[in-house]
Amino acid sequence: MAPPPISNTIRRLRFDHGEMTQQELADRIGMTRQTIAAIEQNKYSPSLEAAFRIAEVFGVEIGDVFQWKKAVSG
Amino acid sequence: MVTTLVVWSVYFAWFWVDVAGQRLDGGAVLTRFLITMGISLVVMIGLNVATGVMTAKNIETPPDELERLIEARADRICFKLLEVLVPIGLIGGLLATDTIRAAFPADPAGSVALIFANGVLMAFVLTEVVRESVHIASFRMTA
Repeated sequence: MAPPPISNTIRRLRFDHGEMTQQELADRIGMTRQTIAAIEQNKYSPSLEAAFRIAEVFGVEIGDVFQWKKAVSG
Repeated sequence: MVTTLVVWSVYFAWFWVDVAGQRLDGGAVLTRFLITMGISLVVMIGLNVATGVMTAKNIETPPDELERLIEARADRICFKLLEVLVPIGLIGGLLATDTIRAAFPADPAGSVALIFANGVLMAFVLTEVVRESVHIASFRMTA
């Protein structure tokens, strides 16, 4: 299955927030570490609610966490 | 999954060997079924408790959205599999009823019922094994 056309900056944001671990982020938004890892590796697109929760943890806008990869028109 | 596979494989192997040897004993089958069920329950509950303790995960924590998605996918696949297996088992059983009755003249009705019940049970166990396999594969692929 092709990965979703969405990239994210969760890894960098975690690093910028005192090297927050995946487990800490998972605990703060009520998810498992495995789900955070899947989102971070772009293997799973979270729900809109989860995306907002992640952005809220880092104190940024949702667009600063998730970016839509625009298709290259040929 | 390994527990289900090993424990129930032994049960069904024993049962079908009895059927092939035309020596079905309802009492013995029931006893073996209860023992198999007991072993399955004890091992599964024990493993769940051990996993909960080792990973410090609260057993009452609800699954998150990815876990729910994977469970839903596994359930959907298994439902489709059951939709195929149960009719095959029932139609096959109906077609084989006369053969079974002839093979077990001492208790034809009981033997037919036992074989029917175990056929359906086998379909359910097989579906459960597939469900758990889908679960594991999905988690490995995504998480």
